[in-house]
Amino acid sequence: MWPRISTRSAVGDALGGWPPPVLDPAGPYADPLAMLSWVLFAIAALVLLVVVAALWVALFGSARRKGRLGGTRAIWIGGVAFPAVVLSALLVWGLSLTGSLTAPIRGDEMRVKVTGEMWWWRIAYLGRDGQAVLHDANELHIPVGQPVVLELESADVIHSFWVPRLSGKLDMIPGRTNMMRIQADEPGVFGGQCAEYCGGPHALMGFVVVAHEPEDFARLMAARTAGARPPLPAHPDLARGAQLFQTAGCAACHRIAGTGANGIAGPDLSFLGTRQTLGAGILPNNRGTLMGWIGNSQAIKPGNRMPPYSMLSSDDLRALAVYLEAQR
Amino acid sequence: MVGGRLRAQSGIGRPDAFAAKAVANCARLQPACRIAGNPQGRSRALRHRTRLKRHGRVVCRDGLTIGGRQLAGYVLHLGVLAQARCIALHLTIEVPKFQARETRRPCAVAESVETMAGEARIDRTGVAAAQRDDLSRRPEAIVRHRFHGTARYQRRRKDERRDGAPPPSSRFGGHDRGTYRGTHGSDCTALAPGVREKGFILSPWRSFAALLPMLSIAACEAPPVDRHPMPQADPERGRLAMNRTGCGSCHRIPGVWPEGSVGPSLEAFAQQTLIAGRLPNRADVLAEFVRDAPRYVPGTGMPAMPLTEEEARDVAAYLYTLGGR
Ligand code: HEC
Ligand code: HEC
Ligand SMILES: [Cu+2]
Repeated sequence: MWPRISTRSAVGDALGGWPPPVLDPAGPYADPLAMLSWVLFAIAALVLLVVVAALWVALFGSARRKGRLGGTRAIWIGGVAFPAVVLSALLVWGLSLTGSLTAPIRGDEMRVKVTGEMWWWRIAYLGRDGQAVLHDANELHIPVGQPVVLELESADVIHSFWVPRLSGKLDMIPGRTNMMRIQADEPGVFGGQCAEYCGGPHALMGFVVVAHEPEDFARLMAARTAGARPPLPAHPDLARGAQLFQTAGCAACHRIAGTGANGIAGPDLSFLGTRQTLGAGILPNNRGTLMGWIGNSQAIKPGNRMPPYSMLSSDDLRALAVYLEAQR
Repeated sequence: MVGGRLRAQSGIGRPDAFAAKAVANCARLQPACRIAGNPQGRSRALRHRTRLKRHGRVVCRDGLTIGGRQLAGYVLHLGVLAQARCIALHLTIEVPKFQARETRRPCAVAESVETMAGEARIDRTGVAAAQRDDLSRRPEAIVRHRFHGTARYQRRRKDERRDGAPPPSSRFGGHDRGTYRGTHGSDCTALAPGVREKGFILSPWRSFAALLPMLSIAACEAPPVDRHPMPQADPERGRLAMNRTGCGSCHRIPGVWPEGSVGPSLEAFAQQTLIAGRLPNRADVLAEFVRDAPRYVPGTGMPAMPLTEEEARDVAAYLYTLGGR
């Protein structure tokens, strides 16, 4: 019903829809916002028109018209009554329209805790008891057609969680938990972006929401929470990569489930092989970009908290990339 | 006295890098640099694009294929490859000074150039027939020269230099001192003054006059941008493909984000002679290399990248736009 503005491109598709298009809603929590935006645009345009017309009369109108325009009546109507009525009506309508966005959280909805870190996203899927059952980073998987409640927190400074196609923005404030719902109507990949300046590479702090059919989602979660890791494919570089991951110090900052790697300073890499993007939404994920990121992520995302690894050889980089690609 | 006219028609419907074909015969030639220096756009877009002067490129060669079409049967063909966004190109060339015989044969300038053009020199490298029209193979057969004017002009300059006079500025004005590439087909015959050609003898002066324009065409230097013409590939698509696959995570490539530092910068890649210090820098090789580098350079730090063959060609075309002026 409302015009959709889609800025999708081949590059964006490769990055899971990042940077995300705005005003192209894909779920019930983004629809009202798009509608509200368009109505506001329309009313603003109308008001602009009236003001320009009044200006025109003031400049070129006949003396009689000018007199009327400057009269007390016109001021009461145009300056007080009109804004009061329009703005109040908009407020009431807007609040009722977006009421669904802030409906109280029930206990039986799926919950995910998303923590903003400088400059990536920590993700923990919560069980019924509120305990984390699965850790991941920078990519959020949700089932289609059902609301997912997000507990938004921050580990350092204020960030803002925003997936324009699925919902509005909500700040992530240190020491607070803000709740928000998102829902996708169709399977797909939806780009997100930090929407509150949080330091250096803030503009490169993106992420991806992947919506699956409910059965697919259930299967994915079951496989990932079962604990047993799928066997690694045979590859001559794999053993070397696994060893390097420990010896080069990656394990101190990164976690890979089922291995000794338990660092928490950087994103969880347990499922890196299935990620759409690297570096918090900014690069496509393939062997080349993986090697490039590990070799010198500072050139790609200046100021991020992962050190460059100029001491690794090309064979080392490849082995690490092969090892990480196998984490699924 | 003849006012020769050279017409170039636009060919290929690619808006970005389109090839315009110019066909002229021997008698109606102008120095190549002049030709490309005076493009008269039929469309307004082109006329206002003085950039063409620098980007227009004249490739003199018999039987040249441009855009998949072979130009044959003329004494001399000029392929003008222009980088412009416009579809119609119209070149008008006036040749007021001389009229030479019409010989419907390819003429070569190989020997003559050396003697007459002073600094200009053309190697006698033959081009194997099968390779002649493979644009990607042409750089091997072509020697590049800096163009400063016609042969006569150059001779004059040489004399002047010997006499200690300051070198005059280019006869064609600053921007006309374009650099162009010349070569000669393998079936070319040398046309030196007085040479007997097809039953008639050109007087020394006549043959010199006939040669003059061709000399200037031959005596040119290829700009680095133009060393690897790939009329079938689209550089812009290549740039998008690079953004999509993330070449920028390792390379600094103008127009591609980000600017990684794991691999070498490709900012002046068109000028490079070798790929990865090992392979000849040719369009076909490059298109293979960017897809699957480890196959061609074992142990390299450059990984295989997820590009289709077509994308790889587009990527190569984009990389060859880098490093020009
Ligand atoms: C000092 C801690 C630290 C060390 C050591 C470290 N990393 Fe990181 N790594 C990070 C941080 C922080 C990020 C997130 C950067 C960002 O996006 O802002 C990260 C991101 C990554 C990513 C991208 C993850 C994603 O989801 O986009 C990969 C892959 C990665 N690191 C691999 C490695 C490898 C391999 C090593 C060892 C050679 C390593 N890291 C060593 C801190 C570290
Ligand atoms: C893992 C990082 C990495 C990625 C990603 C990468 N390259 Fe490379 N590339 C390299 C390295 C390292 C070299 C040097 C190879 C050598 O000298 O053996 C190189 C060499 C090259 C060369 C030859 C450069 C020269 O100076 O000889 C070209 C051209 C090139 N890459 C193009 C690309 C293109 C196009 C892409 C994207 C499709 C790409 N690269 C992606 C690392 C990368
Ligand atoms: Cu931010």
